[in-house]
Amino acid sequence: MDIEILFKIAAVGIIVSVLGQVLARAGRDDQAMLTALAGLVIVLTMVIREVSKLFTTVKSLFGL
Amino acid sequence: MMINIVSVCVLAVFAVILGAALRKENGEIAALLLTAAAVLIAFAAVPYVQRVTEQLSELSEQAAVKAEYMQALVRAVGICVLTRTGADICRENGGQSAASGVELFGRLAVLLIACPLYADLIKTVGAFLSQ
Repeated sequence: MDIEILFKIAAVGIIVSVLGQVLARAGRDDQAMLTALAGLVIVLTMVIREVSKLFTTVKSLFGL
Repeated sequence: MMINIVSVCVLAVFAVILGAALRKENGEIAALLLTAAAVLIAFAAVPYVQRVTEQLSELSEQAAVKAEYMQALVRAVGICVLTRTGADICRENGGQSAASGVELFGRLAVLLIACPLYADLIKTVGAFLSQ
């Protein structure tokens, strides 16, 4: 089990929320939104890759 | 096996707490975190699945069950696992209708696999009755 991916996702989430707050306080709401979007895309890419790997493994495991 | 189940439990609790901490600020990333945890745990179960399937096929050979029946059973279990995982991930993130669609698809797929078995059963019963 490579648990690092959980740490990575949590780190991205924390960084994105801190950056979003800082940028929102500075009055740059558009940049805060873009930061949140970028973080979401990064995490989504990581998770989707894992989900696809799991589904391929299950597919080959059960001979589907 | 015992050590692994402990680490799986710890991982699940850890991920849920981390997700709860992130949810207020960043709900989408918390959902993805929980999904990643579910996938990791499912990956940890893969070697055991392999062992169980091997032992089941040995047992079915001893009991002289047809290999195609066992294969159909294993494939149905695989479809159930995939369907359940997909539907649960959808439902957890509020996608009830998508989850229902996935479940409907999985049911139909399992039914399609089971149809030849029903046909065999009916054939056997017919052979008994005609005797």
